[in-house]
Amino acid sequence: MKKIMIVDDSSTSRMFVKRCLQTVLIDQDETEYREAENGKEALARLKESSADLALIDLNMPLMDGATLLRWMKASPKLTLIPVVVITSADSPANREELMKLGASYVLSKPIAPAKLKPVIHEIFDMPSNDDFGF
Amino acid sequence: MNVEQILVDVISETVETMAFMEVLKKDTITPYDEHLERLRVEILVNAPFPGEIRLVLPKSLAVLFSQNMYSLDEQDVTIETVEDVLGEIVNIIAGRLMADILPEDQTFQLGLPLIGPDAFLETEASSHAIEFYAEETPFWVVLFGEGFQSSP
Repeated sequence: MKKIMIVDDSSTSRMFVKRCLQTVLIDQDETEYREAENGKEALARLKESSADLALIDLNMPLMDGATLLRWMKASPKLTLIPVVVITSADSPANREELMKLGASYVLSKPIAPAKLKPVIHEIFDMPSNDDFGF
Repeated sequence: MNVEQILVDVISETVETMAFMEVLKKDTITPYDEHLERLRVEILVNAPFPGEIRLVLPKSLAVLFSQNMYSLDEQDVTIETVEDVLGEIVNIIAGRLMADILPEDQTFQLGLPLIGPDAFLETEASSHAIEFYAEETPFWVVLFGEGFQSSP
């Protein structure tokens, strides 16, 4: 079972990301989705039970996404979790900074299944339809 | 590409992707209707220049956005849902706008969205208001701050 953590202070955004993931992972084995409203909550929950992927927003109260990313990469238990940053503040300068901090991918909002699909396929090593020549 | 065109593109993409509604830009501003209940959601620009990005829309349109995003009937849409939807929309608009108007190596900082009722479409000398349409209902985006005025 894949365990995916979605971190965003907006319940709308979390709902949207989850919906996109469900579309992309529709033919896959069961997936457990976990949600957190800020970096502090996400960090606490990840320390209790790790995840196979984290999708995080940047602009959040209590602990923002960049700080969460720093904490995750500093933790032996959490450092290997792929982190996809999903943000509206997707500029080349921000992107470079996030990749340096250890983000695996940076995607810009609004998110859509077509944007998410190649990233998820790569992270979970899933074959794409193209692999079959269609 | 100028600020107005960037806004048009961002708003179109955001509303179409999330609320499945087509957005059109209007070249004039509809006269103020005091009977129309409107909501205002704003987000401050803290850096690299002081400013504000404000979304003003009829409450009915905000409810419709929420219905579409959450696949809800109108009576099931709560004010908390509406506020969260609007906060996310303005967050996306602000982030994408700033990312597109600033130089590539320039970072920026935004505040958190603030939502409340709107009495009238406030504008001032250094502001720029643009009207849009979705489902034949007007809504507005107002940019405050000289940083938006000087963008090409």
